[in-house]
Amino acid sequence: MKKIPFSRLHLKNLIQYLRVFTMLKIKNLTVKVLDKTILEDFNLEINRGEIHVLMGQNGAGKSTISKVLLRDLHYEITNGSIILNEKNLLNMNTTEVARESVFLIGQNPVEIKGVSNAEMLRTTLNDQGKKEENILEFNRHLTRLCEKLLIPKEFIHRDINYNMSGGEKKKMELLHMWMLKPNFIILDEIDSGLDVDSLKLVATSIREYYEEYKPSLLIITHQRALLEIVRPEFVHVLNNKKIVQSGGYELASKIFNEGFTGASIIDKSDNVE
Amino acid sequence: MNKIIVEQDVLVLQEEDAVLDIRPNKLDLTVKGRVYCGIQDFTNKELHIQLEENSHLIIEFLISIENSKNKITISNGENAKLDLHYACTYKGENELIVDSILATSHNENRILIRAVEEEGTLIVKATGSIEHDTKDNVYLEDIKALTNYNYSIKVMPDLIVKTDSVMATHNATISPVDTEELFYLESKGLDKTHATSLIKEGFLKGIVENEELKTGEVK
Repeated sequence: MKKIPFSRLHLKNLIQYLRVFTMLKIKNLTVKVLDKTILEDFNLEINRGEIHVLMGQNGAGKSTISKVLLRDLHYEITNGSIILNEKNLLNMNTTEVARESVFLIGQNPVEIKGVSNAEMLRTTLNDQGKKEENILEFNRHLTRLCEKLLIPKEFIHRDINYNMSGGEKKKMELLHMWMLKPNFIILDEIDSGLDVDSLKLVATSIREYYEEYKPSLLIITHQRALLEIVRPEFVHVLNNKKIVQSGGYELASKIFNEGFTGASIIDKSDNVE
Repeated sequence: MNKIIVEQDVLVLQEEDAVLDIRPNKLDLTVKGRVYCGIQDFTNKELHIQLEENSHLIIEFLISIENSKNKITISNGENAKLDLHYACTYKGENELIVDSILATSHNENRILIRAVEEEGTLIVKATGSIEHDTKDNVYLEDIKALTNYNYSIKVMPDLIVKTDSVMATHNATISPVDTEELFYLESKGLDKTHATSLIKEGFLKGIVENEELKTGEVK
């Protein structure tokens, strides 16, 4: 066998490591909805185990990115590329993206009458070929999660999000997350509709999940309390269809203290169309 | 819940919870007191329901029909209640007729129909007649269908109201599977086929109260 010099082997491993290290790479992305450009020349890179926050004023297009990543076909991609786990995301459908271990918790999770949480989770785990637990162990697992998330255990067999409050819906979504164990989680204003105690519980649960499984996280939020608990490392500001500034947590602190315009991140004139 | 095999064309039920296996093509069902009936098979049948005074019938259909004409007629005694939940998938050419006649007072008839297309057509004719000299009746009719994109269902509602003292409403909605619901389930990792069938199944079971009927675990 040909002997590879140490330095070349080392370099090869390093390149491989760096490639695998990247979870998501969005390059020069342009997105349109009904011929209106929402994102243009949008770039973002997220590595494994990193927590990123996307901030921006209302209507800036933050939620668009979560829908684009889950391949919602209402959003038309007219330029750019998205690489997820070394694969071209633009060639995938929603199911395929989810099976790459991507998980979205949206602002207002949809209600589905007649389909219970347990039924959906069991079918999903089977569909994904994940190890089938027996029904007793599956129910015990769900019950333990309900206790942890302070959810009444009868919610397991209730219809998905049906007649639930905003807080209950978000906790149920977290329960789904803990069951499906994703590697890349997108939280789109998970804090909306949560009271102070629920927000603390939700944020703590997200941090606990992070400590246990080290997923990548993309958080879209305006909430200081959420970020203080989840502790992101990277903060990006979206304005005029692209990321205009990136930094560490201190950038978020500055925005919380002074606002986008006060911190001179966004010009007041930027808001006038 | 027990299963009753119905061989005759007349049946009287009083204070009973049962799944009916109706063998004849026509059945006259008389209800006394509070009665629950589940029905899992109902093809080319005529059912006449006679609600006795002060009775309450909950009757739930969770069925698949193919080239079937079904007719249900309902007559209320005084102060009677009916909750009729008719959930079906349909194939081929089908027709459903539901006729309610409220000729007495203080009745409540709630008729919920849910239909899911599996390549076929369905005509629903639902008529509620609230007669002269009656008062304080409630008549509610709610028909929803999930179809493929050719909208293969025709709903013909008819409310005939001959009195001032009644609350009568009719609602009909026909649509394909909700794309937001589909996106939600797909975003959890379900494939389109499984997600669609879960939504359709849930749509039908959403109006069925009885757990044994929903799961099909009837003795």
